[in-house]
Parts: sequence; structure tokens; C-alpha cells
Amino acid sequence: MLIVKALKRSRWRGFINLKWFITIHILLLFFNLNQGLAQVKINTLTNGLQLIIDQNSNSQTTAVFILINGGKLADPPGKAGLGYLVTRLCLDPPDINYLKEFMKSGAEIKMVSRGDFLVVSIECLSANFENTMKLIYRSFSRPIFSGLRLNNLKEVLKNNQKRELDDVDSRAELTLLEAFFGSSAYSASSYGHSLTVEAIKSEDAKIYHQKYFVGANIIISVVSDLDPKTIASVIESTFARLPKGESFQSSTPLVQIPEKKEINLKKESPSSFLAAAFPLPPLSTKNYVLAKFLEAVIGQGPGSKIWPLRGEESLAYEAGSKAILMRGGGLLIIYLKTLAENFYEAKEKFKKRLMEISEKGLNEKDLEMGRNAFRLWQYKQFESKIKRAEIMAIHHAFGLEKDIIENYLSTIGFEEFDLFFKEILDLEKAVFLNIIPSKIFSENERNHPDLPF
Amino acid sequence: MFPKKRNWLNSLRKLRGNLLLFFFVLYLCFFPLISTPETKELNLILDNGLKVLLIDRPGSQLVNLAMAVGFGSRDESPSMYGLAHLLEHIILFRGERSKTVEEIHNELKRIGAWINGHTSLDATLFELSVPKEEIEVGIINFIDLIFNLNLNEDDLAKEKQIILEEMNLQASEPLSLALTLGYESLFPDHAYGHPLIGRAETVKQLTLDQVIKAHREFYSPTNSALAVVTDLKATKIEELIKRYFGQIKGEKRPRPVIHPPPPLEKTGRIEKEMDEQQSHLLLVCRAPDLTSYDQYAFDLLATIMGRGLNPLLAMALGSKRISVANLYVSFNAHKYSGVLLIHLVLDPKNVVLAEREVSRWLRQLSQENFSPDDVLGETKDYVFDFLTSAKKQVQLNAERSLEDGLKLASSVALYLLLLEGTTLPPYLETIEKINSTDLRRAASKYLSRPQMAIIVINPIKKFN
Repeated sequence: MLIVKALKRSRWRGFINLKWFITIHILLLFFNLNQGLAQVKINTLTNGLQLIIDQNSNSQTTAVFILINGGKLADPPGKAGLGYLVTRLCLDPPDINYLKEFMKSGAEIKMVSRGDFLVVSIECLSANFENTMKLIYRSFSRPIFSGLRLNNLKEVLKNNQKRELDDVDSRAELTLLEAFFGSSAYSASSYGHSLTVEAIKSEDAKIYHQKYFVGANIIISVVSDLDPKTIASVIESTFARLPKGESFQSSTPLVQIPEKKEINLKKESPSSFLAAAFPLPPLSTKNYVLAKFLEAVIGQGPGSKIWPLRGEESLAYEAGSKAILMRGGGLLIIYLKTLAENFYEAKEKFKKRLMEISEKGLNEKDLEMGRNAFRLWQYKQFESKIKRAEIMAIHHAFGLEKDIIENYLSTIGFEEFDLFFKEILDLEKAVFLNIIPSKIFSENERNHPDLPF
Repeated sequence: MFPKKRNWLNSLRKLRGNLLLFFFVLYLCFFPLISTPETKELNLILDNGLKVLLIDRPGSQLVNLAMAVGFGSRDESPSMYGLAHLLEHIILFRGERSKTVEEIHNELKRIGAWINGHTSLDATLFELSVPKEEIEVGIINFIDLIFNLNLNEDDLAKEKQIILEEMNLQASEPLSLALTLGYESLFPDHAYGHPLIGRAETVKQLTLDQVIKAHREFYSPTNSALAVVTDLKATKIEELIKRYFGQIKGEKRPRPVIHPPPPLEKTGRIEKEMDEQQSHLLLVCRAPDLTSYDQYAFDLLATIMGRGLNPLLAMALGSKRISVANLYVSFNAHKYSGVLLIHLVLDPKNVVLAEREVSRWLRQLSQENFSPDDVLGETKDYVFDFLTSAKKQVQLNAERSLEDGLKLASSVALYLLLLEGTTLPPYLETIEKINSTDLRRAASKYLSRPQMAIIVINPIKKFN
């Protein structure tokens, strides 16, 4: 109204009539309503690269998530770890001047190899975005495949393999993936094995780079306070110049229910680790949402199905669940960390609890809890720019579009959820894993037959 | 002709007016997109003494709350070791309130809220994230959980058992074990030295009376601070905070004063073996405290030493051909002393050499060149600009901290609680002014002394 009053006093008084007043308000309403929707832009560039841009002015930073399709699946047989190695090579400073320039930007880079793709995440001050991307594109598009660099990186991979095996959680994850996915690429470590890493030659790295570091195989998502046009022009002048190539295509490994239902591993420690893993079906919007629901309802915090082992039985500081989701299928891992001396009691009660959960099933409240937990998870993830960029890129790669997820989230019914639960939490398909000190290991192997039930 | 020209001019004027008005309207429509929103803050002190800071996050779907309570492990006498941490657990998971703790959690789950707690040397922190539509239910349960504790012996015994589980888990993880041992060695006979989660023998002996007394004495509005990050307009949060948090009652009791730790007299070295394939080397030094101006220089020093694409410490070790699998450097500023942590993961055969080299290097850090401006002539080309790089990284971190609402609320709540009455210069402006001389001075003041704590975790012999 203040605007209207001000205009009335002005020389344009004659133009202020009802028609204009209504038009102004319709325009204001239209543009404000569309602000949220208009911010996310998805474009396919001339070289096939898919660019997702989201404007967010909560901070003066830019987060970039580069997703290269293939991941562990693209590692050739006997050369596990190649994808990780090539990506590291692509981020290796080619010379001192490059390093000096990059240091001035203060940017942060991380990378990881997953079941279906390799990812590089970059965070920088928005003022340095253009310079950072130009530098990264330089090494990304023309890595140096020298023997010295390759050997240095092989040492990094071997160190990472050791670190992965020293960590109980990642060791458990690898063991359970191997149990369900056999010798397929999904079950291999991202860092490969000492023998597979040794087998990698510089020619392998070159071929891998030529084949997969191409426009049609890459998704880049950017979340920034910068104008989308500025972002698009920076990407156009850098990553859009990559050769087009082809998108990675491969059949995905499928879950196989193993015959061996209990695995024991040794680790000398005051604690023991118990887990049960259940296979998840190939990824779809429905399976993705329902797996996230189950993860929350079964093992995330007080009120979850596994919580009584902590709350009532005081058996563990950590009791939880984790869903590993991949294109061809995944795992729901339910776990418990307990005192080594409590292992037998914990094992018995853990299995008993799982049976109770499986037999009792779920109710409407669980569905509501799953739905709310999923929404909260999304809100929280979306606050951080880099996590937002990651989710947008991964969802796009998996064909999980935001609107479809949102629609499914609102319409999903109890019967569907319950059916999914019954299909997943089938104890006949489960594999149990115990990581325990050698004394208990021997007793457990001796006294307890292979089958847990 | 003339009248025609006049009509034409009139039309042009009219069109110009229309166009101007049209562009003005367009500007109004797009204004929110092209302008950078200013962070609005609202500082309050409620009638009961609770310090509150509300931070505006327009468009946020969440309300993020953090409540810092002035009770940390530093407040514990030897017979109370582990009490602050045990109490945090009990508040989150045990006892009765206006309803049972299970009912509270079920209600929080129903509305899609997330709650957690942390204990540190100086304070205990409780965090809540809740969708903005459910803020009132979230706040009522959050307050109920933290301030209306009613505990029985059975619940106490159950949570003690969980703490013993946690202790064992920490003893199973090399870095957790090394950190506990590192703080013990760095602060002998000081309130910062004992393990934050206590020792098994002290936790077992903690009584119901001790827990209830600590809750009554420390969990009061005057000894707490609250920070909230949300869309202030959409949630009407100010009114809700005043209505619900303003009702909290508690004793007005000054928090016990502790003294800064005396200088460390000798280096403590502890070696342990664990079932690991790689060794862990942790070097821990005293550093500036939370109120010191030197903390700005130390934020930069820690970044230069161990972060980014080319950490100075990795370069120093590399020049001696000492290969390191992982390097992590952090600077933690506590109220009465800061701590610089250097954590290396490496091959067991490199541990002795790395330990010697890092100790030597730290003592000489005050002579290091951090910027090409530190040298003259052609030598400039051979010096990396670590200083500019660190400033940019620190700036990036500061900007990023604005993104995650809960992290922002937590750091603000701790700041309100621990720095009351202290005026520190603005963070980024001060960082920008720091030069290499300031870094060398800070390194000389804190790191040139040989006294530190060194913890080595080696693989058990069968792996050697």
C-alpha cells in the first residue's frame, strides 16, 4: 500500500487504476510463488554433461558435486581400485604453479568411489569459483599418467585398504557386501586389494580416463549464491569442453542369498560387534523411500525397534541400522556394539529381538514415524550446500526425481510399507556377522553351529 | 501535424510511464532473488536469567535449537568423575518427567524431530531439530526432558552400564583412546585432565543423590544459554521462547571457578598396542584458550600445518622421506586452555622417526616462512603462500558454518555461555589482518617449548 500511495503522489498518478493494481499483485504473487521452483535448473550441455544448478544465498560459498557414472562397477576384472586411482590422479596438481594457484583459492576437495559411481566434491568461496573450476578442469581433463605418480597413488590406496580393515564398521560392511554380492564389483573395496592395485598399469588408467571421464558420463550439480547464468558459463567454458563419449552402461550385480548364514571375524578388542544383514531389492523410487523408512524405524535412536537392547537391556552404547543403497540392490544392516564379555548374552538377545520384530510386524505409527524421519532427513541434508548438491546429483543419476519422491512420500500406504517390511526382514535370508576377540572366536566356532536358528 | 505530434509525444510519455512502472514491478518481484539476505539476530535475556539469541533463516523448514548448560567435566571433583556425561545420558534417555521418557521420544519421533546431546570439558549441549509446523510440541518436550528430571535407582544403574559400554568402545578405537590419554598427560592434576566420560570405578560409585544434586545446582536458566536458528517470522519463535523457556525455574548459584592449568613440566609419552595394521601417533600441545587473541593465529596455524592440498607438516615430513597415510591437525580452544592436536596414521616402522621430526619441527615453527612476503628477491618464487591459503580456508569454514542451522545454533549457544562478559574482535576481520609475524609469535609462545604429550598406538606384535 505504501508503494501505491507513493505512486499516487507521483506524476504517474494517472496510470494507477484498478487494472494496474490487480496486474501488479498477480505478477508479485506469480513470481514469489515460483521462486522456490524456479531455482533448480537441469540442463544437458552440448557434450552430454548434465548440469544441475540450485541458487541458495545462505552463505557466500559454492558447492560442486561431480558424479562420474561407473564407480566400482567400471573397474575391470582383477583391477579393483582403478576408478579411485584415476580420479585421484585427475585431482593431482600437475605442477608447482598449479599448486600455488590452487592454494590461493582455499578450496576443499574430497573424493570417493561408490558402487555405481565415482564422486568428487568441491567447496569454495563463491568469489573463487571460476578460478577453482578452471584449475580443476585442467587436471581433470589432462591428468599426468607417469609411473612415479601412479606408484605414489598405489601406496595411498594400500594405506587406505589397511585403514578400511582397521575400522570395524567398514570391515563389517565389506564382509557383508561380499557375502551377498559374491565376487562381483559391488563387494570389492573402493581401494581394491594389494594384488589388484599392483596389476594396474598406466595404460589401464589412460583407457579408463578416456572412456569414463567424458561429458555423457558426468553429472555436475552446483549449489551457490551466484547467479545461475554465471555458473552455467563457467561450466560451459570448462567441463562442457570434455569429449562427449558415451554414458556407462552395464548390467548390475544381483543379490544372492548365501548358504553360510554366520560369519565370525577376529579382532582383539574390549568390544564385540554383532550385525545382521538383509538384502534390499534393486533401486527404484519406491524401494529407495521404503528402505530409508525401514532404516529409521528399525534402528535410529530412541523409539526404534532395536532400541530396547540399549534402553531396557543396557547391552550396548551403540545399536542402530544402516541402509546401503545401490542400483542393483543393497543391504539393510542392523548392528550392536557390546562388551566382549557380554557377547553370548548379546548375541542371544539380539537374535531374539530380531525375531520379535519380524513376527510382530509394523503398525500405522511406524509408517508415520518413517515418513517424518525421511522428511527431517531431507530438510537437514538440504541445509548444507554440499549435501544438497550430493543428493541432487545422486537422485538424478538414479532417476529419483524430487517431485516423484515427494508424491510417493505423501501417498504411500501402510499395506505397501508392511509388505516391503515382511519381504526384507525375512530371517531366512539374513546373514549374521560377529567381530570378536580370538578367545570368544574359538569358543563360538566350537560351540555354535553355522546356522543361527 | 502539430496535434498529431503532440499525441505521439503523449503516447510516448504514457508508454515510458508504463514501462518504468512495469520494470519497477519486475524489480520488486525479483528483489528477493538478487539480494543477499542479511542475517538478522535478536538478543534476549529472559526474566529468569536465560540468555537467548535468535538467528533469522528466512525460508527454513526447520527450527534448530541448542541449549548449552554450564556443567562440564571440569566441574567434577575426583569422586564425581564422569558425572556431567552420565547426567547428559540420563536426561536424554532415562527417568520420568511430566510423562515417561519413552512417551517423550515417541512424541518427538511422531512430529519428525531429532534430539541429541554432547558433553565437553566446559559445558553440556542439547540439540533439537524440528519441522517448523511442530515447533510448540518440540519445545514443550525439549524443556520437559532437560529440566524436569525425576530419576530412580533402576534407571541410574541401567545408564551406568551403558557408560561402561561406551568406555570399552572408546578403548577399542585408537584415536579415542589416544585422545583420552593425551588430555590426561597434557593436564596432570587439572580439571581438564581426567577422562570426560569418567573412569569405570568412579562411574560405578556415583549415587542417585549426586546426580540429582548436580542437576538441581547446574541445570538452571542462569547457568544456561539458548540459541535458535529458524525463519523468525514464520515461526513466531520469540513469543514461544518467552512463553515456555521463561517458565523454567532454577537456583541462582555461581559456577565454581577453576584456575588455568600450570605450565607443563615435562613431556609425557605413552605407548600402547592394539589390534590394528597401522600405527597412530598423537602429539598434543597446549595452545591459546577461548578468550585469548592468539586463538585467531592458531586457527590459521592449524590450517597451515594440516589441511588443504599442501599441508606444511606433510611437506616437512615428505622432505625427510617419512611417508604418512593420514594427517590431521586440529586446534580446540577450551575456556582455560587450548589444545593443538596432531594425529598421524602411518606405517609402524616410521613412528620413531616421525615423532622425532614433528617434535623438532614444532619447536622451529617460529622461524618458518608462511608467505612469499617473508623473503626477498627471487627466493619469493620458492615459498608457498600458506598464509593466504589458510585465510581463504578459514573464511570458507566460517561461511559454511552459516549453512547448517543446528551446528550454527550449537556454536552460538556455547559462545553465549562461555564468553559472557568477554569481548573478542570480529572473527573474519581479525583473521584477515594477521600476518606471518603474528603466526611466528604465536608459534614461539606456545610451541617452542619441548613439553607436550605423545601417544603412540602400535599394532600388536603379531602384525609387525
